[in-house]
Amino acid sequence: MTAIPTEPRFLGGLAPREDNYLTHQAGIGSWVFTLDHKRIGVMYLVAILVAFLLGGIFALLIRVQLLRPEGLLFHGSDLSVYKTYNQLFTLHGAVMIFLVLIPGVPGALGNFVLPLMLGAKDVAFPRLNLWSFYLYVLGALLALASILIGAVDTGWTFYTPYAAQTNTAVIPLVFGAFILGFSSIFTGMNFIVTIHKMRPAGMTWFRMPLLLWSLYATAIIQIMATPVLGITLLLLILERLFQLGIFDPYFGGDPLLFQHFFWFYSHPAVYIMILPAMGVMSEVIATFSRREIFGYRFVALSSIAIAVIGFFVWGHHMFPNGQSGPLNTIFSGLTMLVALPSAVKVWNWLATMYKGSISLQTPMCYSLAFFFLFAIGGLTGLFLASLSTNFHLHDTYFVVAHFHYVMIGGTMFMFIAGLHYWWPKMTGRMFNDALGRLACLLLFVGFNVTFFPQFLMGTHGMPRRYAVYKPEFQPYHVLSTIGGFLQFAALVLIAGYLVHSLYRGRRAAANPWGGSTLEWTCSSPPPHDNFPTPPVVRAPYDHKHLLWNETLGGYEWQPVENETR
Amino acid sequence: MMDMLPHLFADSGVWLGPPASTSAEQHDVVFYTVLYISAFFFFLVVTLMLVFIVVYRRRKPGEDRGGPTHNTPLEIIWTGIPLVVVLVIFVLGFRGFLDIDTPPSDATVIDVEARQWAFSFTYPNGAVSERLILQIDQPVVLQLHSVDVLHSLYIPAFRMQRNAIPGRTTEMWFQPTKLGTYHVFCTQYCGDGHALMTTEAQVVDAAGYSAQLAQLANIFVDPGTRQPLPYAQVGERLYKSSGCAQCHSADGSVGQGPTWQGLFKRDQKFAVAPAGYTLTAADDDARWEEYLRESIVDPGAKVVQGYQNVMPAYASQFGGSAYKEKKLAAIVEYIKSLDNHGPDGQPKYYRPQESPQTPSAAAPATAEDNSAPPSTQGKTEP
Repeated sequence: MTAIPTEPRFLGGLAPREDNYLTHQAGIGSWVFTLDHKRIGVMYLVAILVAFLLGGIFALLIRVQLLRPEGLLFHGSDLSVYKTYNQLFTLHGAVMIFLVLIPGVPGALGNFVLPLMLGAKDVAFPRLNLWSFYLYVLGALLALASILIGAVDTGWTFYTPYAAQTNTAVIPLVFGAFILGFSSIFTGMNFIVTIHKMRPAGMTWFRMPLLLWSLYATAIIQIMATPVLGITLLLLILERLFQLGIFDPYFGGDPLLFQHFFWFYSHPAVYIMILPAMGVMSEVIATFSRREIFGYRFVALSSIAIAVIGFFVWGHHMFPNGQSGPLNTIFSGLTMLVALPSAVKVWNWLATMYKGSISLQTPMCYSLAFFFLFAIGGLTGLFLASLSTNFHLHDTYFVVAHFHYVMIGGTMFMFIAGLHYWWPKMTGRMFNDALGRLACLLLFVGFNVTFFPQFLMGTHGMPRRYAVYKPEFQPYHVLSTIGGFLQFAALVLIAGYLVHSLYRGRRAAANPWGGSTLEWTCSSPPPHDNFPTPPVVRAPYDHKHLLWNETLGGYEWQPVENETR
Repeated sequence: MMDMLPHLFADSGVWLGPPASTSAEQHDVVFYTVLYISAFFFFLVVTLMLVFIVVYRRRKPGEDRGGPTHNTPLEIIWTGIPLVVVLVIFVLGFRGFLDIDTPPSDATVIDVEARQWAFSFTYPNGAVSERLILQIDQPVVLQLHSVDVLHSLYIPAFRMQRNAIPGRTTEMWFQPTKLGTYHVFCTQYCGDGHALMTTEAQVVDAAGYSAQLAQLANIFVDPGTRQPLPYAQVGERLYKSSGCAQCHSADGSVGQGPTWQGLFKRDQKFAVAPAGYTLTAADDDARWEEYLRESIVDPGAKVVQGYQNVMPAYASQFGGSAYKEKKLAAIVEYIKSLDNHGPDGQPKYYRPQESPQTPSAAAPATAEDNSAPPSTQGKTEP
């Protein structure tokens, strides 16, 4: 190990550039076979961003088609022209869910910061971690191959019996999702073991950063729910190959059984997507409010509550689908309860801002957007959880708008927030904060222009997954498409200044934002081994000893003599 | 696009269109209750956030205002209040659901068959239609089943939907309260033509209802003149009301299945057929009619080259009783009428546009049933 002159906490911008995880080894091989969680995190990040671009392009094509009631891209007397549209929304959903949202925060950001937050050298099983990444790549390649063989047109939910009958490449895509499931399970196992066994001396469960609580709760869902998806997808493949008669009523199977199996995973999966984002929210709110997170234990335990209750609400996807009345009632009631832990988190985040010292830097702007968007996304969930209103809104654009507010307004906004928050740590460079805030505003406006009209479309009865529609819905669709392009412009802007910062960005201090968790105590970017000496663990979110140092361009830890409390 | 705006807001609210059934009125009460509760909490969160940003913005780096770090009574309050609120919403939704799920005993039962990509409604008197005809203030139970994949019948004005599932029967009921014509959508994705699987629900008064149903029930007689209609003309009505038109055109244009124009007595090439089976223009009428009948009742037996066997079997609709056999014969007669063996290569039998006895002339209501309004047919756009 290279000798480091002083304790890294005090190095700040003076950290030795010659040895960090990026420069420690050179050459393609050093990346391809790396066991370093930071490099694996970066590789995940690149892969996920590529998938995000792909899913985004599918989304824009969908939006362009819907500019005209009779379809702008695909229309004609032959019904098969609409197949292309159906393939587009299937791929948009499958790519965004399986390749972007599920691995997004844990795979890219979690891999990078989880060991750093624990003051550890790496995750518990570095080889399993790399294997998990390659399984992700393999699953993604299978999904891409399915597009070339005959893009799937079932919707990302693969409902039978249509999925058992269509002549598109269901098996490659489903098998890709099966493999992606293992990638997810391995990441989850790794995180659970790492959090249990590798916490440093002094870091009790209730002194862990809240992102770790979120990732832990996520990992529990990943290892418990994903195997059910795996076996369901295998059964679907067998059904297609051998007509076993499990899901296809034509051979004696039951299509509702598939929906139960599928949502038993896929509803907890939405918490796999949102919980890590909530963890990022906790970190960002604490740092930029310069405050200890309010009600730490409630925020931490609400993650576990979401993970547990989230397992018992899957039936709310099936209210009008032929599920029995008593079952509908039970699932409606349980679904109401899962709203509570999320509400608790929101109140505590708000209270964290109370009497804080709020800095509106880019990551914080995304957190503020999160309050707005997640509130709408969460509250509109009440309409869908309530039985009476569900029978009207089910499978309309109201549902589409609801889950985009949660999944994009919640998860993707916090993914982008986390990307900005840890960008200096990952790359050692600062991005242009003014452009960052501008892009956030543009994305926020574009997002609302896209998805808010979809609520109104839904309440007026516009069904989802329609390639053509009644003319009275056109104004909403046109607005929605305009918003889509605004979002695209914002994302291009973000990509632009982030890439620019890699070459021209100011060098980042060890702790540019004033974060109080352990990853900010090692240099930016961190050295290969993270911490030359085990870091000192203090209470999480203790900011009062972190003081701004103009020379470093960052915060440094100082003992405060005359405390102002 | 701008000319749509008045239509959009003229007779409907920003959030919901006008309710047209008893359960829709109940639904709207629950909807607006949840909406106002949600709006309150949304504005509470956003207002607090904005106030905190302004009041507690960072004025110098490193400042510390020393706010509280926890407050258990507060946690209990802000968990307890939402708990009560969501339980109230649950009870409201549950009460609405009890009504939705419990049809009155005097409801009319209408059978709904869903197939790719059309609905077919069968009334108690045996009448069949592709549009849903309803009587105002009369409760109706729809019994849904599907012959192929999952579908869902959704009527936004009634705030109601249910899935149609192959292999089982599901039920939905409602009681229309307003005269008018309403959209009917399929909301469960069902393949290529999903977006075209739309029709209309027409709510009429009691007199109009019985008249339309009588007319639909006896499709072989002209209700105006009480004279028997030509088979080919009856066949054309069945062509439009039984889902044939979704895939087979009558004017030569390309579709999922072969067009019926010029189909009769041409040299047919098969992708699937028993060994040695041929069918040419030289074959006699009887052999051709037998082939057409079989292709409707058992479409997989012989499949025309260039097409796939995606057509569901119509054995239940056109076989098993003398009446159904008669309907089958009418469709075959209609296909025969579309051949190209008349003078000038025109169909020699029946020409719909020239017939003096078209149903549209005799009975406007039935004509509506036959000619789908342009807005439901996005695919007819050139």
